Amino acid sequence: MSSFDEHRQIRESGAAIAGSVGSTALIDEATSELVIVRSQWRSVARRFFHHRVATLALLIFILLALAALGANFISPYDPNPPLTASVLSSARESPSAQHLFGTDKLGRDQLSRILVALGQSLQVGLGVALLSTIIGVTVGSLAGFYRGWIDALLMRFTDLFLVLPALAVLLIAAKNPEPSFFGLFDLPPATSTEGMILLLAALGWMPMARIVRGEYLSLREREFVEAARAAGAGGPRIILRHLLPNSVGPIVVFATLEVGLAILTEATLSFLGAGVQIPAISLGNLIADAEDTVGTDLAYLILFPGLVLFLIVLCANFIGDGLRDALDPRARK
Amino acid sequence: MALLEIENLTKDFDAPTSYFGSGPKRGQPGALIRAVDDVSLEISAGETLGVVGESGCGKSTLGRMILRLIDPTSGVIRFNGQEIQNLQGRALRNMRQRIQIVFQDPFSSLDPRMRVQEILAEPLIVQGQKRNAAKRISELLTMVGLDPAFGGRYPHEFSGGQRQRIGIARALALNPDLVVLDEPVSALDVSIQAQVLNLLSELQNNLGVAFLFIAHDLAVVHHISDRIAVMYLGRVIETGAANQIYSDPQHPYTKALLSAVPDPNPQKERKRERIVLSGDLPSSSAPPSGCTFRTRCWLAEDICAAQIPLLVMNPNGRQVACHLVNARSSSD
Repeated sequence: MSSFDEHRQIRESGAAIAGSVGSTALIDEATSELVIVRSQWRSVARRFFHHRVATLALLIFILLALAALGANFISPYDPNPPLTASVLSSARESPSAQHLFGTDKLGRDQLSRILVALGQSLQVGLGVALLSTIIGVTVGSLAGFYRGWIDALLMRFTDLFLVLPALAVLLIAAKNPEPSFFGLFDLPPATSTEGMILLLAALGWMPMARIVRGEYLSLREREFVEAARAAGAGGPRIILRHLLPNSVGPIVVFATLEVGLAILTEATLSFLGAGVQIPAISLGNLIADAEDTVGTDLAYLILFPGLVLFLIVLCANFIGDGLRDALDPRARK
Repeated sequence: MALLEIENLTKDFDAPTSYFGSGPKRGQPGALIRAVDDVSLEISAGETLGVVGESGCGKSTLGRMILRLIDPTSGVIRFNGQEIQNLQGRALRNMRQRIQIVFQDPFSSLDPRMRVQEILAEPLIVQGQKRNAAKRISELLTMVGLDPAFGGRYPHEFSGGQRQRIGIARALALNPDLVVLDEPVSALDVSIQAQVLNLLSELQNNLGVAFLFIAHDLAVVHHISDRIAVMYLGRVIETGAANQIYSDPQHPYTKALLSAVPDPNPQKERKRERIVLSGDLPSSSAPPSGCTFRTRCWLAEDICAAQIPLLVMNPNGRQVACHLVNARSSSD
């Protein structure tokens, strides 16, 4: 069979199977070169799942998220029980079938506590990533598309936030029990989950703004943007229909990395006592509670929360890596 | 009345200046790059005007000014008798329906994240012609020789020639009176170039649309143009009917350009005399005095450095911006 027949047969059978769904082939008018046709997102997904480590990371991330959501079903113990004599009597038990991760110094089940802390970490990580993406994309879009004085103003504003000593701001904020926005409206305290999400997003959106601005500056010179302007399209349409969809790759990748970073920062703050306050539970204060157990029989108390923290941040970063490779349009496999 | 009239159109760009103050300062010589210098042209309805010149001579800037993608520094652009160089807002948007553009690079001119039907729908949506858009899109695809069933596909699924057809369909979506073709075939294979040029001629015959055809390849321009304007360093140095320019070029630069076109007949090709220009295109931030071509012209005399030659109709009925040609023809 000649290669032309082969092409035609592939095209016809492909068309019969896939119909309008997308996976058909067409014959190039000039070279009879076979061009395989795929829907873009499907090929992104395919490239992502080719990345074994990223796929594994996504799987673990989903499992951890499900475990945090189903904390009550997985572990039957109250993470913060009233400290009765019976609870206290089971203190410092090594991992066993009853308490998979053992019990802490006050007899509380460590697995139940870690699952609650995991939920807290995921909330902060995803919340911060979402919020800082919204702020960063908005600022970056306006600066990169309109340029001129808007760009100068917004970028100096961004620089201002970049030079803030973030740790100092966070530690000071934690000391203010009833923050408000210049007395206009109340803000959640910095030591609550919501407050921490707001603060970390306010201190973490700047790289996203710069990335989006840079993307727009290069995209707006492309001819398809000129074509849209020549047709009479205005700024909002060009941003939402052309520039933003073409910047999805870097935005998604950076947002994913931001998840890991936010989780780590939240844990650090809680470890230092400037995060969520006891009795609320976070991976950071679980580790802080057990900091004197290193090298003793109780080392499992620091090992398990540390391992979970390590795992979740690692997974977030690997997912980001996988997405970066999958979304790179030059990578054609 | 001509469809499009351009009078004394000029565009200056700011030259890149050093942040720390070395290099030319604002307002000093060298601080401005004059991309288009005092250009006057006319296009009649349904006509094709070819604009040729080497890279950097300002022909693309000229095209983008007509589309109002770049604002001119000075001069007048009149479309259907209406001055359009200062239009804003709604009036500008309405005017945009009448003038459209096809770009050189068929890869960067189509949004990679949009399906073909979305690309073609964009001008219709923006201009409030959403009704019957689906019908119009399949009509357009058929018009440029593509299967309407391709509407659901993405640009990367097409070859360069097919993409350029999509670009042409987009430019025609609003039934414009004038389409600026900015080197529409120079990124394509030669075999595909012919197909696309034939498509353009055919569309012009059917739709009566006028073309401003920008190119650096004289053979391509000759094939499609009614009239030709030759540009050098931002200025038009010769205009005339395509056949006239081709058979009897007047300006030395036009002569040199045409002598570089190879002849398909090998016997003639061997005997062909070539004029090889020495030197490079001068910088447009510091153009030579007088005639900008004099630095490379083998005929240059004293007057060429002293006075800028104007593009005037000489007694032979030709429009040439050259002191020597015009002096010779008036003494004849």
